[in-house]
Amino acid sequence: MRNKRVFIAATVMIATTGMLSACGASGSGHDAAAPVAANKPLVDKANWPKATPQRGLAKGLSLPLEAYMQTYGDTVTLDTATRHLQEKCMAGYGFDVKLTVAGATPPPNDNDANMERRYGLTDRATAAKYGYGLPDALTDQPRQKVPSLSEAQVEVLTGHGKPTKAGADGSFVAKAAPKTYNGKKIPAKGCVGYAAGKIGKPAVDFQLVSELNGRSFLESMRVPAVKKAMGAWSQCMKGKGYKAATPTESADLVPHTDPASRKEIDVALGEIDCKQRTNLVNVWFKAETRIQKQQITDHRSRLTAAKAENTKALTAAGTVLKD
Amino acid sequence: MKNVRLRSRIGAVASAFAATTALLVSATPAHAAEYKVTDNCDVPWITCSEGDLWLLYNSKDLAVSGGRYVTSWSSFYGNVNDYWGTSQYQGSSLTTYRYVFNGNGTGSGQYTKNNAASVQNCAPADNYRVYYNSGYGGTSQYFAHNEPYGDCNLTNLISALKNNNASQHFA
Repeated sequence: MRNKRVFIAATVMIATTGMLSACGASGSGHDAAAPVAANKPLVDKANWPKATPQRGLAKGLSLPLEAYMQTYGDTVTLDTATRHLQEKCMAGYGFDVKLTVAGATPPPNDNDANMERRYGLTDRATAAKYGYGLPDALTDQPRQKVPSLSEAQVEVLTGHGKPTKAGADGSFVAKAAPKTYNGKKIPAKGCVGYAAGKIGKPAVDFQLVSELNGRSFLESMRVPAVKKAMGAWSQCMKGKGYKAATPTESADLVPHTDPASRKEIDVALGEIDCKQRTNLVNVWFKAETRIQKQQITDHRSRLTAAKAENTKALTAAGTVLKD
Repeated sequence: MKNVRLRSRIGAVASAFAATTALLVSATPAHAAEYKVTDNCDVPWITCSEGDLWLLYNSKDLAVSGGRYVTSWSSFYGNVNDYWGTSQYQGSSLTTYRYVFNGNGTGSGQYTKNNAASVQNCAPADNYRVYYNSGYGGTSQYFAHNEPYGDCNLTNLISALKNNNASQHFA
């Protein structure tokens, strides 16, 4: 038998073993979507981030590169369609497997630009309660487990067997799956490969837009107008008794605790009030907007290509989800 | 992507325990205790499920050599407000756990915050994002989940976040 090396999250390995002993070797695959707290829905769209900040000093702000980024809604759509296809493919082999549900752990921001907190804290109401923390709905961590699967189910799903530990170096190996299951051909890389091929998700690359978005963030802090406003902000903070050259530094002045301490909340509110007084957010945003417009001009073809891939994958996902 | 053998989490956890026991309490004021861990799941008040984000000390090209990880890493489940560590008051005394890289290779024992070069999302279902500031602020980078029983995707941090990783959140 040919052994195939795969990258394996060792966590998956351990969790699987644990679950197998609990659920028996056959693994019904039906324990995936059970929410921890039965009184709360697993997916609550009300907690999903909006396209732009809804309140505070960054309300309504959006940077030019955001047009080329994947939104949280996109991510959930692609993951949902992919898992739907994987489940459907598994059903074609007689396996009733329910995978995890996407959309249950929303981020506080819709994309890598993170306008809500890009220039540090901007929402006074949230800071007054949580300091540098987040509302409970965004800190809940509903636990979903990847269902426990039998060896045959793993082979059909992934195109290889369950990973096993091999050798003293602690690495993992898995044998390649047989070509067929019950006479039916297993797709290359199993149902995972089948679903990826239908959606085209692996081709989507957002590394470039993320990199540019990071560069503009750093570059904008060297723009004279921003340096001046930042200096004024820092002076304002000093007046409140805090030593911070940037919002990155003020975020580190007091260790965050849950619930937030009075001291943490005071720094958080000071940071925001000084931004309001010095107009730092608007000055910074304007400078960065100019930088990003130039970046788009310089990298338009690659950015557009990645965006088109995303749109194509979303269209494919939309068709899948209508089935 | 090149195939590598992945060292076991069992090793990572063992070294985390070793770090915790070896460190114990350092320079203790009357009402503060400080420990070091390489995995936030070893912090008593953090409840973990499966699916960690790994922060590696080295960049992708240097992290792996001869099919082995030669870098150290730390692993984190869920939302991490500050890679510097997590603190909680127990009564009037403040207990803090600092996050450090494990003992696997380069970077061993160093603090994780603002010190990572690459990231590997080994979670089968959870997407993550790493942020420039503590408290989920500044620019950020998204890391897509792994497929079930599949390859962990090792990715370099963008240049703005390299050695400037401060927090992480589900994404």
